[in-house]
Amino acid sequence: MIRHLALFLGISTVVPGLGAAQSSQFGVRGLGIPIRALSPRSVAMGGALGIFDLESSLNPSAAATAITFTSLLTSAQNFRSSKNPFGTATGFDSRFPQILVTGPVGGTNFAAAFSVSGYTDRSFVLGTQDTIDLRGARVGVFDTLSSRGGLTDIRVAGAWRITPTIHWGIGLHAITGSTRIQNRRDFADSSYVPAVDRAEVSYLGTGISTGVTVRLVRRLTFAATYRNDGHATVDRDTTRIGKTDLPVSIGLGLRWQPSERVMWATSYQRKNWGSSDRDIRAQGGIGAQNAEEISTGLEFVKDPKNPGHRPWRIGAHYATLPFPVKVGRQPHEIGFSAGTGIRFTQGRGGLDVAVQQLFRSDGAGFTERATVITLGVSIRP
Amino acid sequence: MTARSLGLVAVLALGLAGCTENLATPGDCPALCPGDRITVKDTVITATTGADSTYFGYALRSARQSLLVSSGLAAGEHRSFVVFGKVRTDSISVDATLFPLVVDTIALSFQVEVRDTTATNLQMFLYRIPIRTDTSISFDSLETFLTPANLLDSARMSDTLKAGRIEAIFTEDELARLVPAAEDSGRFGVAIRVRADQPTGLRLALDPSVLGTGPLFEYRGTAVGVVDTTKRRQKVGARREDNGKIGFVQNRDLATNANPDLLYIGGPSGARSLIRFVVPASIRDSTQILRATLQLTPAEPLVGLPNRRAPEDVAVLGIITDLGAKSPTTSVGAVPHGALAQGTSNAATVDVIALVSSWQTAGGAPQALVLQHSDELNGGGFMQPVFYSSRSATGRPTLRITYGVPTKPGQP
Repeated sequence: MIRHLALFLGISTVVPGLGAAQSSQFGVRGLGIPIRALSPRSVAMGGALGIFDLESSLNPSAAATAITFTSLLTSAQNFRSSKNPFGTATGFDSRFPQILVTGPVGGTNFAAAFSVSGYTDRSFVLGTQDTIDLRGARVGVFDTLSSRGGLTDIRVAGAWRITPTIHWGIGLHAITGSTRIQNRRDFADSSYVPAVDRAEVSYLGTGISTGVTVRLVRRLTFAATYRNDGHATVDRDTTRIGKTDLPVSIGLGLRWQPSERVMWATSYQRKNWGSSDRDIRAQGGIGAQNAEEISTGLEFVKDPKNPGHRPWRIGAHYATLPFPVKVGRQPHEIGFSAGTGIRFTQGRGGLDVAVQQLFRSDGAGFTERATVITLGVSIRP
Repeated sequence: MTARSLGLVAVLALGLAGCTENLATPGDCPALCPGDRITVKDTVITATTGADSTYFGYALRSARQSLLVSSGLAAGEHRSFVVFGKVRTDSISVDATLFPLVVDTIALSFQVEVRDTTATNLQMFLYRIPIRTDTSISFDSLETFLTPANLLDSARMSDTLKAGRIEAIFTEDELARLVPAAEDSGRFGVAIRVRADQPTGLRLALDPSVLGTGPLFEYRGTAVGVVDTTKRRQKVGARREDNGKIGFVQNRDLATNANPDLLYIGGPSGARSLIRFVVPASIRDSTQILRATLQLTPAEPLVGLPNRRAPEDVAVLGIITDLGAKSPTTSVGAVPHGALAQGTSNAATVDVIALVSSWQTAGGAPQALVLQHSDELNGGGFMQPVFYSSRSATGRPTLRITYGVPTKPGQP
């Protein structure tokens, strides 16, 4: 176990950008765009499986199903087209939204998990052109506001297999990260050097989560989670500028397996980001609103003896986003997804892929279309 | 886990880590952008009253790196002189062997560095002068030797030649003009003046250390046994190290009876001016300077050598510590191109952002600027600019600073 953990930590130090998922114009405000801490398998099923999924970080009780050590490294390639009243732009980025290790505690009914996941992502570049009066002449200026970074959720979880049908778990979370922000003004007249203003805003908070998974009948399973993230302190460079309340979240899920080859799942999540509204306004933002997500997904297994090998997964989700771009216009996201996976070396290695097509809009001219390819490499030595 | 699968993981991890990104989205600040846009402000600071001065004597006559010659310029008349050293004329040394040399030609040549490119029929006149001539000679004293009786020859410079070598050749009977007097021990002195269809001037090079690019006195001839004709010659040059025996004189020196309420730069004595400013702490401590422009107003028209490449200019330097006339200057400075508009009284502006920004560091350089002539090492150049000072009623030196006010970005 120690050898495997060392391997995991080694990979996590090599990989940059951990914890962020994707840039978006809807991540400009507040703490950025929320990240769904899901495995590629769950992503392919619209996120509906996440609350049951051992390889996702939503429900600490899911770790109880671990029968062997498992590690997972996830990457996401994001191709985006953003449109708003000021123009259109395309962009792309690569992130590593989740790294996770989990496994049973030998000889007991307990399991443990450790994960590093994205919490929010605030990576964007905004450009604006203008003309100003300088020394009695009109001078063209080009303003660029850029931000890179976001918040990361570091979780340690323990799970207890109380009975074969009831699992319970608890997780402790450290929420940390920073955004490096640069405000730059370039001048068309090269006599002026560019004006550059930089700041690094860092966050630190803690949270706790608990969850339960109950098999109601032979083919029907229910799961529920509760998470309270307390608040995060906010520092600009070395100066404490305030704190931001982080949301209390609840999640509910239902999984139905009518046969060994078919599985259907659905889930609902609510995060009361509205609790951070006052803090975000106090720090100069335009506020925050509660966010909800509903998702559903199907998995068709080709070989019940090796269910992870070449299954077909499809799903969809609808979510509201907590940080509006303009006051009073809460954006939302609709996503359709599909995916599959393979297992090799007697199931010790796995490769899962999910493709999402996302549509975001705030109903006031800000729209976005994104294609996200999520790739996960899992190892079960 | 096999080594193969471990390798697959490593390759994937490293490969994905190298991906690039493009995060741009269209925006309209301040409507969409969190936080404020950078505000740009502008202010004009006048030089501290009574805290600017001119100091003379930074350039030694014996340390000049070039020769100036002029005729009819409003900037004054310039004459140059060179006393060549002794050289044997009866033999040459080739591969450590002496061969007899029979001189049939003497060439006197000079390297033109700068000229008025519009001047036509430019001619350089060479006069024989006593070898006792040195840098203590006055303009009037040198002029007494520039008579038809002492005229050796003249050399015409092609109108299309911007820079290059100009040569006077002496052969047959003309060789007698260049025979050194017995009491001169083989040394020979030459004075130079110039003339063209319009007022003009020349800057001639001096050898930095090796022979060949400065004034050259060359004996050429035949040497039995030396096949290479380029070796059948003896030559002697005039280098910067031959201080005292080469130089130039001029009839206009603004350092004489200088007005203490004006600022001078350049001239024969290499004048420099020191100007002090006080930039408000609010700008020094918490803004980003985007442009800083020094403005100097000439107290009289700027006259020098017109239509030249690399025009004369004012160099602005910072100082390490403020010791008045002996303030050591920093390497941070500004040498503008064309700040001094020839023949006008237009204000000269110099961008000095690097200098003024250096005042923002804690314990940084003093808030003072040193003005010096860009041609100070070349004898101060033809132009001797004079500017109004902080004590003048108008046209006082100013520093115009454009700066950005910090926005403390990072609003949610």
